Amino acid sequence: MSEIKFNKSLILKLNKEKNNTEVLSTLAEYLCKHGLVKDTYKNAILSREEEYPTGLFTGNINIAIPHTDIQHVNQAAICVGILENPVKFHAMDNPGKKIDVSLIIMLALTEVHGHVNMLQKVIELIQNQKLVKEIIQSNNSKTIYKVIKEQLL
Amino acid sequence: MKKVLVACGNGIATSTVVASKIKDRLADEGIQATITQCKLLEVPSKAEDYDLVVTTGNYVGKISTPIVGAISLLTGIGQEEIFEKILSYLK
Repeated sequence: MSEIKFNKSLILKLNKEKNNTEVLSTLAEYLCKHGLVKDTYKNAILSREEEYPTGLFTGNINIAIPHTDIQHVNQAAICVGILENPVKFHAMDNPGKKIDVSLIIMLALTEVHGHVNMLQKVIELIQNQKLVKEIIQSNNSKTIYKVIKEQLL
Repeated sequence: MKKVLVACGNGIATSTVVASKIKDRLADEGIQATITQCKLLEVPSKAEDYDLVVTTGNYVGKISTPIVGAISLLTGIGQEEIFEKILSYLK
């Protein structure tokens, strides 16, 4: 997993964004500013979310895993957005349903059917609501990084 | 050998996780099947060559191949039930 970039600077606490478009834009622009994705990534993420939403209903703290086609990505990376105020996302399996999402795990992928281990770990994290709660509730960026790093790397 | 088509929005991420979970489970059960990934958009043109279609996203089109929604394999809610359903088509 050494080829997938993830560090403390890729964990963002967001409190100004009012809806999922703003949240996705902030995270995508951040990745772009750091050269990890191309400037086409943001629009690709936004249109993908509209067509095939990425909200996952977990029954507790809901999560979204926005991602898009590999041609928009320079360097594989994970960007985590922690939302102070949940925003609505459409559910992946039921786009008619809106769910409150508090944690965004934005994936910048460079392999079509690759990154299997990392993707499995992201899904494990999503299913481990104890860890998700720890991430959401902590105000200490070091703790948050440690929890996510231990789970994903 | 049975053939399974696993589809998600981009055919990149969630279908990769679901495909690997199904693969592991089939190995545990001693069931041989080939698993192929694709985008949801490609389902109509590919489905008839497969015994089962599994999707993570919402598929609204009509196909004659049986189709199973596998969001449970991502969220963990009701996962076993969905595994059983998938297996029932492949035994």
